[in-house]
Order: sequence, then structure tokens, then C-alpha cells
Amino acid sequence: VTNEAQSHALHPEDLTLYAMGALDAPELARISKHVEGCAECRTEVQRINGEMALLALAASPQADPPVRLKQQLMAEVIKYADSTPTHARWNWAFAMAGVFGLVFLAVAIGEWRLIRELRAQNAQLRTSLAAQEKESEESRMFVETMKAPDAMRVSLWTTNARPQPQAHTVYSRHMACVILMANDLQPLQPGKMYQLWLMRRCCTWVCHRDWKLRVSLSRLSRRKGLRLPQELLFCRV
Amino acid sequence: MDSTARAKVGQQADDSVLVASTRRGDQEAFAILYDRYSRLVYSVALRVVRSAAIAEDILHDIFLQLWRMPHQFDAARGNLGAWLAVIARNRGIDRIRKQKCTVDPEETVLLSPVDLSYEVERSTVVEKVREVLKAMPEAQRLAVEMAFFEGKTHVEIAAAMKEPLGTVKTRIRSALLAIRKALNE
Repeated sequence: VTNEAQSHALHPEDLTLYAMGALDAPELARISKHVEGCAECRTEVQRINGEMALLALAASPQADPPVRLKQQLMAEVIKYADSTPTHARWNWAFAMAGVFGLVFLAVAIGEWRLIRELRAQNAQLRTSLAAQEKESEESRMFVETMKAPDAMRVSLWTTNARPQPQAHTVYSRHMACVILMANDLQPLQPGKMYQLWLMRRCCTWVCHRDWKLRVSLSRLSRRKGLRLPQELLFCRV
Repeated sequence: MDSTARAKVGQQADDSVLVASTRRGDQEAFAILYDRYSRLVYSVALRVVRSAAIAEDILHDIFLQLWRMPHQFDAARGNLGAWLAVIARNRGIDRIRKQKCTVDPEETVLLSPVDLSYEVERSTVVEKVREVLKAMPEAQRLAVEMAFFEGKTHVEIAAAMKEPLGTVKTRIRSALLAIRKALNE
């Protein structure tokens, strides 16, 4: 020990006096500055402190403190604990704050992800809706055009061909709708009517009264191969 | 485990465990520490200040500080009993010099050669050190006591004993080396 101290140009006695606080102010400042930067001397001072503790014990006649001191101290401890947030309470408070913070963060992240997903779904739905609206508009335009009172229905034929009666049906079970498009049907004798028959799955033929064709064929017109009209029938099942 | 059994376990707990519990606000652990070390702290303080009232103040202040700021002590600062003894001595010296607390407890670090938490070991060591002190020359023991218990500087001691400064320094140093040697034997 003394070797290290001597190598630092310090007398070992000075370290002892320094540890005891028995140096004058200028020497105390000088050695204190050295000890702060010297691990070896710090260790020696710590060792001297340990020996000082034993010296203090050995040279002090043992005496018991008054019992009331403990009562006073514990009363003050309880008072301090009750009136002031103790370190433990602060630790608890900080721990709780930390837990709440983490929970809040987790919820916030979860919410943020949910919002992001919902926004993506919303954008997708908007795109889909726009496409459907466009498709619906086209369908509506198609139907409106077909139903328009001034709609001109024109069938195109080659010049020498003779038009043949034609009827086309489109049936959608899902839509519960049948569309019949008929062209060039022969005029019927009085009391006769055209009928549209549908076959059920059980192979029985049915003919609903509402399905009776109300066909009013326009007069045929021959004008440069153009032939009028077509009849469009909607039947709701 | 009932309270009696828990108290018995607490009485046997290590200082580090009790200090850790005190940090969490455990009053029972703090009370055990007080029971374990109040006599030691009070005796040292009384030896320094030679006044029961002031020694009681010092004892009260030190333990209240331990309760309020237990983080000031950790195992890295050394043995709790030795640490408290040095703190008690330093507080006593401050009172003698009528100074405010000049030594920060957090700056007091020591390497204790023995564990003072057990009464038996403490008594054995104390007895050994007492024998060393008893065997010292009167002038050497006086110089140590003036420095350690009366808070005098080496200049003041030299003047009081009418001895050269170097002689006083050597005597104090030699006294501590004698204690170290006795503990290592």
C-alpha cells in the first residue's frame, strides 16, 4: 500500500490523516484532488475507513440508546411515510405509470393498425362502389334506352332475305326475372294468343297468367331492309 | 407464515436484504436494522461528542436519513455496520467543530475486513482491536484519539503534544497499521 502512495509522491501518513479528516485545508484540497484521480489511493482510503470503523467500535464504551428514541423515530417514520410520497410509493407510481404507458402504447398501436386496415378497406370499397355505380349506370342507361318511348328498334337484314319470326328469352332465377325479346312474330287470328311456358325442375309445365304474352306487333315496315318493331316483355316471377 | 415467524426470519436477514426492504418502505425491516445497529451508532457518537443529548440527535438523524434515503448505502459502499460507525463518527466530529455536515454519506466508502452485522463476530473483532490499543504507547494512543475522536488536525495535535508534525503523522499511521496487522493474523 505504501508503495503505491509513495509512487504518487504521497506519504502514506497523509492518506491516513486525509481519511480521518485531520489535515489542514490546503493539504486536504491537495490530497483530495489526487485521490479523486487515483484508484489505488482511493482503495487505500477505503481500507483505512474500514479500520476506522473498528477503531471507533473498540474505543467506544458500549451504551444503549434510550428506548423512547426508537419510538420517536418510528413515529416519525410512519408520519413521513403517511405524509410524503416515499420512494417506494414513487417507485410504485412510476411502475404503474410505466405499465399504463405500455398498455396505452399497445392500444394506440393496435388502434393505428386497425384504422389503417379500415382505411384500406374503405378505399377498396370506394373503388368497388365506384365500379358498381359505373356498371349500374351503364345498365340503367341500357334499360332506359330499351324502355324509352321514342326508342327505335331496328333489325338489320340482308336485302333479299326474308325475315323469320324470332323470340329470345333470358331468365334469371336469382333475379326472378324473364326477359323475352320477340321479332317478326306472325299476327294471330282473333281469340288466339302467344304463351310462354316454363318448366319446373319436376318437369311439369306451368303457364302463369301473368306470363301470357301481351304482344302487339306493329305493322311491318319494309324500308330498305329495316324492319320494325321488336317487342320487349318483362315478367316478374 | 405468521408475524412472529416472519419477524424471526427478518431478524436473521442480511443487511442487504433489510436495506432493500427499507427502500421499498418496509418499516419492519427498518426497525430490525435499528435494533441491530442503534447501539453501535449511539456508542460511537457518544464517544465523540460526550453528550447523550447530541448523541441521541446524531442517532436519530442517521437512521432517519437511512429511512428517507436508503439508496445512499449500498453493498458497494461496504459493510453497513462499519459504514454507520464511520458516519456516526464523522457526524460527531462535525458537531464538535460546530460545522454542518461536511462529509457526504454517499462519498463514504469503506473496505471492511469483518462483517459487523453479527454480534459474536463484532465482539471478537472489537476485543482484538482493544488489545491492540491497550498495547500501544500512551502517546500514540493519545494522538489517535485526538485525531479520531476529537477531530483535531495533525497540526493541532502536534501543538498540543509538543511533538514534530512528522512524529504525529507516523504515530497515527502506525496505529492503524497495527490494527490492520492484528486483523490479518
